[in-house]
Amino acid sequence: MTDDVLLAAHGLVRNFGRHQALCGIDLTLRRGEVLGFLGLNGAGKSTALQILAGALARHGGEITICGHDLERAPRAARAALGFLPQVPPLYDDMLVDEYLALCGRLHGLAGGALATALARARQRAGLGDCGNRLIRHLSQGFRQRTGIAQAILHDPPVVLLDEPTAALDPAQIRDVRELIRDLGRQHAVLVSTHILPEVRLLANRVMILHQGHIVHDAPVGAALGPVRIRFAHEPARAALIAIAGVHQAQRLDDGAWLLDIDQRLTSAETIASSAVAAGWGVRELIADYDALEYLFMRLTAGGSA
Amino acid sequence: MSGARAIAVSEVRRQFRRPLTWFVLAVGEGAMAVFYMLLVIRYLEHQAALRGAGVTAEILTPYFISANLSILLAAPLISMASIAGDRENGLLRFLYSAPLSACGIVVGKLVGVMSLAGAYAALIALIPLTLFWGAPVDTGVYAANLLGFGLFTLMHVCLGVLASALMRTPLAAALLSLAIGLGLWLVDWASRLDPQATLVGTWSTLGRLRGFAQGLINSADIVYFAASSALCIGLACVALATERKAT
Repeated sequence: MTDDVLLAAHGLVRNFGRHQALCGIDLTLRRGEVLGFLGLNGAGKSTALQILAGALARHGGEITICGHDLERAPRAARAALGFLPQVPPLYDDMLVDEYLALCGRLHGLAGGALATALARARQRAGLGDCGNRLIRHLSQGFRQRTGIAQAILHDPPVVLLDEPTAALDPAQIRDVRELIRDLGRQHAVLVSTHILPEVRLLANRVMILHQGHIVHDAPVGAALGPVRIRFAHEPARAALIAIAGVHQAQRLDDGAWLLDIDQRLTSAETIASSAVAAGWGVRELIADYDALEYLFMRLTAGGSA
Repeated sequence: MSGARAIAVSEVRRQFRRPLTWFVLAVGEGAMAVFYMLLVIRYLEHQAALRGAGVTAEILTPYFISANLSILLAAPLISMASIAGDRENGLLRFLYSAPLSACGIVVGKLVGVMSLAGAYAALIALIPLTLFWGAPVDTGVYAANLLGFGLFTLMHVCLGVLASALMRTPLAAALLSLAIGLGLWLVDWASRLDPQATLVGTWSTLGRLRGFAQGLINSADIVYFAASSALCIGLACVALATERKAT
């Protein structure tokens, strides 16, 4: 498995004055993996991505991209990376094709290889026949697509995308998600986003960053999940936690309970049976409660950083 | 250096697509053409009173001194956005994430700015060629002035790129390079007022140009301009490399 690790970061630290934006985070990304990077505004997602891309200095830690240390072999490491920042890095006074050609040349492409890469990236990013348009005249959606095209132009093994579907219309979002899925088959993709359903649809692993710390790193749909239940006769919290497989019980404002369960040990049906057997009665039970949203809200309950 | 070449090619194209470029070219060339015409008219009107002084001394030399002054004013405008503009728009981070060195970025930007400054200087240098049609011009003095003008242009472009590498905004970069350029021009006056201040005088660009204006090519003057240019570019490379590592 170690051979498949395309991106490895250990102990990343970044400070802005007295504020510590990243507090020693570790991260690995394997070939064929799409990692969903979640966090509240100000959690440090964009900072982490910029540091991984070598666009922002770090104050501690190490980064290896495709076996190349970003510090000792920066050119080789950067060549193996495609990066779309939150705001696409575009020269407004250039034509789309000129700009993409510049990006290709910066990564060592030339001649026929550049022309082929340019045509493929334009097609994959859905730029159509925009090649001769001035970037200043592009809509927000097409600016985002141009940004995506520059990130994948040189077919990098590792692709970092910071909110890739921002400013896109629904049809464009569908196309970009398809592109990310496609990239994820051969490459390692890290997608930073606020959109939880996007992570569910695209990622096979999710990482939640909160106040500069990684507070969750597990496959999407991991064993731990919540059940929302409302009883006819409310039991004590201790009685709920006493049910095998129930890790936590949280009473909501509307009187319902959220039970954090280990799905390997119990299920919603078992809990319903236990509740009926104990005489609590069940008025409402949602077994497929949004686990990711629940997890995200629970882990980031401390507010924004 | 393929990355530097890629930046250079795109910078040359971008330079000539900016409205400011054409504005600076038009105003600079227009002003120099008018000044040249005034020099010629003055020469024709006062030919008898000039007691045999030729067109070289009365037109060519003052024209090139003024041409250098126009570069001193235009170079900050031409070079201010080269790096500071990218920094202001967040594009410098994009270049930092590309597989090229800080020096590659600086050299690419320098070539872009130099293409425009070179065009500006070449057009200015062409104007006095009209003298060759009807007057005995000293070609040696013309060549020396041309060399001094070229070296002065190179130095001020490099100074502009350095200021752009150091400052956060193009305006701040323009002000910094203009201040340094004017300062180096004006220290000549200080050395004239105080004959003891020879050390100050050695830094004066105007003092260095005086030899070229008289048709004298002094290797120390060439080294001064070349070394200053190299120093500016070297410092710009260090500034970007430090920024890339530390911020």
